[in-house]
Amino acid sequence: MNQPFRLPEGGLIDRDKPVTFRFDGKSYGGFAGDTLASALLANGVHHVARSFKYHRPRGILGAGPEDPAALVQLEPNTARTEPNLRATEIELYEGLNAGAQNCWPSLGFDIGAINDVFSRFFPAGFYYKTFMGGPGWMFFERFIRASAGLGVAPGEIDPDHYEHTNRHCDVLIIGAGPAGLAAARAAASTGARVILAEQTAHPGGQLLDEAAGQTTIDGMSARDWVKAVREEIEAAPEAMVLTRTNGFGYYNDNWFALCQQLQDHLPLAERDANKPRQRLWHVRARHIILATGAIERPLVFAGNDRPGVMLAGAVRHYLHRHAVLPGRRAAILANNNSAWQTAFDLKTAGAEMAAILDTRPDAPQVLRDRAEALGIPVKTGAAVTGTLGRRRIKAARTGDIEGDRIAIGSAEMIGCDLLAVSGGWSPNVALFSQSRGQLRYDDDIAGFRPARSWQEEATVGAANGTFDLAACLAEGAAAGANAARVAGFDDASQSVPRVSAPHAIDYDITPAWRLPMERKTDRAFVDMHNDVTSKDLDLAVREGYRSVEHAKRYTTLGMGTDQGKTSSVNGFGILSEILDTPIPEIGVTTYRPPFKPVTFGAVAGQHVGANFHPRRTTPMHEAHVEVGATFEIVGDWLRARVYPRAGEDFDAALQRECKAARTQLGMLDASTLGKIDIRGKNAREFLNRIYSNAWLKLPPGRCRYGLMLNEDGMVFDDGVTACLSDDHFHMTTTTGGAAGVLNWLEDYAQTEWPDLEVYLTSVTEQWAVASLCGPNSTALMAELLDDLDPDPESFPFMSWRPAHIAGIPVRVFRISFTGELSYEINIPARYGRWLWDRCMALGEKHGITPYGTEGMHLLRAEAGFVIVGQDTDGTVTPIDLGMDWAVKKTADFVGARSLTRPDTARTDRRQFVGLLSEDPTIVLPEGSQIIATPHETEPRTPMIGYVTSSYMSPNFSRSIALGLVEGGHTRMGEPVYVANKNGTPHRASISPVNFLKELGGAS
Amino acid sequence: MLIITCPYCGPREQSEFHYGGEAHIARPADPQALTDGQWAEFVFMRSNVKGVFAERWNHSSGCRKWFNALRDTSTDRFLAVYEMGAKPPQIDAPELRTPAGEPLIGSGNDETKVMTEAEMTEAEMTEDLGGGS
Amino acid sequence: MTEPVAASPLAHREPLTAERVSVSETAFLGMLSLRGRPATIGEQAASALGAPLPSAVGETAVAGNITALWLGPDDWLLVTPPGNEAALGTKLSDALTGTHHQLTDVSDYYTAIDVTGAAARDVMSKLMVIDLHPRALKPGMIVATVCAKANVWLHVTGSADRPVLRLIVRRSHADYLWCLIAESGREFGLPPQLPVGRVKLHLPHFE
Repeated sequence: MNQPFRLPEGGLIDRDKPVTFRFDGKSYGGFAGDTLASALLANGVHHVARSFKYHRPRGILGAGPEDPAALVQLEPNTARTEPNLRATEIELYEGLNAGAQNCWPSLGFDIGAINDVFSRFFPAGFYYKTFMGGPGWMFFERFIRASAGLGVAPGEIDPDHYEHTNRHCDVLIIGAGPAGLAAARAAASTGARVILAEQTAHPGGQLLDEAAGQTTIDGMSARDWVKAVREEIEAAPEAMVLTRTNGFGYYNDNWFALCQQLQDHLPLAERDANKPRQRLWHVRARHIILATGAIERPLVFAGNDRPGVMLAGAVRHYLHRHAVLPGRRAAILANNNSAWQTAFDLKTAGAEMAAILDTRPDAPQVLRDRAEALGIPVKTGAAVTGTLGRRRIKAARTGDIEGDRIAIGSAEMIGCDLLAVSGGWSPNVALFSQSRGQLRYDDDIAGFRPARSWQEEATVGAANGTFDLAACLAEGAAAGANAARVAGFDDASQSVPRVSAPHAIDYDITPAWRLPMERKTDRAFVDMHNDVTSKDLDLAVREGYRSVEHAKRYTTLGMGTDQGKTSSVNGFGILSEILDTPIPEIGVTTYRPPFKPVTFGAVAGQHVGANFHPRRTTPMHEAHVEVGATFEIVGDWLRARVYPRAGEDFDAALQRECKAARTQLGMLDASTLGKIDIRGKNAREFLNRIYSNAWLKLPPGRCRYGLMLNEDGMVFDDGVTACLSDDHFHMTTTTGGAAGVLNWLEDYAQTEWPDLEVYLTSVTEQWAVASLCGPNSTALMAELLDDLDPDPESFPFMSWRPAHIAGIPVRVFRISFTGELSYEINIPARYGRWLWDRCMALGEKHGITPYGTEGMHLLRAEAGFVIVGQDTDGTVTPIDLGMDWAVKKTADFVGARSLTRPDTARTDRRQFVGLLSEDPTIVLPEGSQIIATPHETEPRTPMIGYVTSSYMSPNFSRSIALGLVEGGHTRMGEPVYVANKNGTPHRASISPVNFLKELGGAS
Repeated sequence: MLIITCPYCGPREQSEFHYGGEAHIARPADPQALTDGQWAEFVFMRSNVKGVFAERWNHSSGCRKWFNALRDTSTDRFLAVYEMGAKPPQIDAPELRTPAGEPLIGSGNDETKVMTEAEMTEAEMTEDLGGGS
Repeated sequence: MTEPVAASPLAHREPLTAERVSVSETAFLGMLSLRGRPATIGEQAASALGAPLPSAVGETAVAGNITALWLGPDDWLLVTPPGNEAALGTKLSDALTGTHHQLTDVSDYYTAIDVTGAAARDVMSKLMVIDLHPRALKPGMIVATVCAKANVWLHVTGSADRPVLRLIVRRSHADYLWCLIAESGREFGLPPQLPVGRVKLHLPHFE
């Protein structure tokens, strides 16, 4: 296919593999090995995006993650669509479809570009100024959101899968440019565990961005050397190279997060559904070497965001990696030596060189000589003051710099379709700064570079401000050997690669943070991601935002998905000029993870859908599933909630189950209750200290209900504990509180009372528990048990007995949470399912009915039993619950002292009471506010409590409720009102909590 | 994620641990003998130290043992771990850089992000810092 | 019909096998939790077990058909073949009479998931943060740690290049972990497994 800007040879592309792709609705051709950006440039497409705020046409500025504005929507209108991807990083695959974003109706004609015309109405701080008063943000939000912003989030479930993995290593190297490769080779040679991560598909870094043959290393061409070193590293016993891997987060103790793209470069049809699309690596490294290179800065001049204005290093990248000529007639604008190489390379590749414009008053003679030899016109002390061209640069207007202005009469137009710019190179210190290392400002390179490490880390190569290749390699090799030594591997190969690069250009820079402008209306962009101009920074400082962090937030400089990779340092330099303060005193903004964007899919990993969270199931679980139970989540447990029969809804099933449990026989799977084995000669004393009631006299064979309080006197768990023998107890806790209670007990046992001889072991899941309830339960128990008479006369309430069922040892507890005759059978969990089925079979003639947690809640509410966590909320004392009988006066216990604090001892606290609605058919909604008056008053009706539990009781044929009401214990029979969002408040009366006694006549 | 050194299991990942708040707050032997104020001090009040802080950790997913640690809260770095009941070891507090109490490096505080020439050592001024600084 | 039927936590799963990794349950292992201070119970326990209790992190001790795993400074898990737990319990209990200790049968609490094969470490690295490399975790070692969102004990046997990673897990976590292990082994050919925890929920507050 026609690729007019493709060079006839060279590059790392595979010309035998042509690729067809679509961008913005049009079809193009490229080659395997292209990025979307290089393929578009090969087709002469520079305008690829509209900017964030002003909808200005934006082109391809960079060649990697630094690019601020060449953002596209990949695979639009599909489940795989992904917004805001940099065209410079998307590897081309057959059939790729990319859409332009933030434009309507099209990239070429965008209505939103009207924002640019009115840009003087959208200055820095526009949002703050506009929305703090008047109709406010809430009113304007939908308009603003519609016109600002970037791409579109996918609307469907992501069809790909992702995963996390973890590794520990001795040396982790981020960046496989020359310094990183040298470091990895030295470290790997020792046998240390080494991981080398490279964000692109190919190790080599800058070595791939230069003409083949320009540099020789160890007698090989640079590209052959890269290949040889990679092979050497991969052949080492414990080393691996991860490509397409974005090292994005440097955390405490050398914990590092990387995102590896495994399949993004493949055509959609060739992706393997059994492999993750992306893998998130968490690496814990003894030592980390950051070889993250440097990022080239643009220059800040009027019209610097025109498509066709490109970083000089990026031009070399496209020339040499992709054999693309980004322009046929080019000009260079730079404040340093490095961009001159671009001019020489372009000329050599066949482009016409319109001019080299250097902002410095003078340039090194050696460069001038080479330019002259190639016939390239050179102008020093020059600036660009404007650019022409709608969707691509046509010409640049230049002038001579005279102080902070342009010399009058020096203006000149230079026709060009490419303007390669360089404002110098900033060491890429983002990850170093994330590690909390300290920077220093180096005048020689006009940039921040690492000064002092905080973690076990070394920064090498261009990231460390070292731009000479031989020095980079030496620095890398030394750091690799040292890192291995720190990790205990001594015998690193000491060889330092020998470099021959006769035409290498020394880096030399004189910063020009912003170039003079001719007209007041001219705009020069500092941040092309967020449309921040140099004048926005002037405004921010004028309005008092002098700190670099404040100026950043006021202008949005350096924010957004590119995190200011090309803009931050220029911004610091400009602030330094505006404030007339040295750059080191201006400081830097904070670098935070991620270094570049990471998909939510990778962050979630394999922990999605059904694998998101543990759903703990009981040994009887399948029995509930088989009869069509619906479930609820309690803690992490799945508990059967009701067992609807065919044609029955939730409420009908609930009513049937609860009726059966009181009149015949109900069975509950209570396996999830927390169970703790407590043993030791001081176990009894321990219980006496952690429960609010008395435990010293409970004899073996007996059980007791207990309340646990926090030291603040508030109830936090409850349960029944049985005495197995004098020094041995079996505690039960609530289902949700089990883990918390054990930790709390261990805390007291280990830290407060280490002198008490007591051990605690969880036995929650050792036992499956079937709770039988109702008048027929004794008959079923008699059939089940081998060797125990279940008669309540001889086996009284609140006692337990060891027994056997079909030879299996069980523990039977005569305890009840329903107020009904009950037995709880604890059987080793492996027999849980069998026991359930056995009870169902034997119980059929007794009318056995399984009931779920909802039935349990209803039945216990009929009996007035509290559920900690439903009827309490961490502000309720045992006295508030009306359980004074469970508070001992004879000895200290956890929380005892708090019960006499003035606030805790108030008599008008919210107290636990029953609530009977006047209309027995109305079930008061749980959570409803309780008020004292039959109507709600303005401005606010005092709230005297709320409904905590509420049900339609089948056994009393009316609704019942429990709640917390101020001074409720002394207001029996008094009317209260329950706020009703749909009408007038419901009238109800306060009653004792035990409805069995109140309504059922039970004693 | 931090690495925390359990006195019994050695260095392990933070995800295996639970935090237990300030250390060395002993439960009063006779709570009833305390005034309401004294009791409230024990129940509710904890110090909020910037710098070296003695705190409790539980190796909840490992050996389940509680232990004490000294951690510099301004840098999140552990300085020592020691068993329950033991006295905290003596630690030389780092020299502070900021008025708010952060040391020279490690806090991420704005004032400490960029080093001034005065703070650099001779070697840091003159030497190339790469290669295992 | 009245003969009791024992069901292991993963009775509903078949072993999973691929070329480089396999996953299976070893059900009904006898397991006893032993708590006590080494100074108090060490001698008696050693004579009952036939070997001293392991005394430091990571250590295990094998005596006949009993493996003692170090869980903490006063905490061990004794693992023995199915059915042997009662006899072992009685023997130890007798030997420790009069000492401050706690011996608890937890055979039904836990089950064992064995992940074996050359890729076993790669699979489990996706779920565990600890260092599984053979330089750090050698055959014969035990680690109490976290796997995905569950606490587990990891007991390593086999050889460095063909390890058996035995995860001792709570029975209620077994299916969750089984399915995540299968998911992690997908790239090696393990078949996907659907958790049994995918059930109908009744959530009236969200309707």
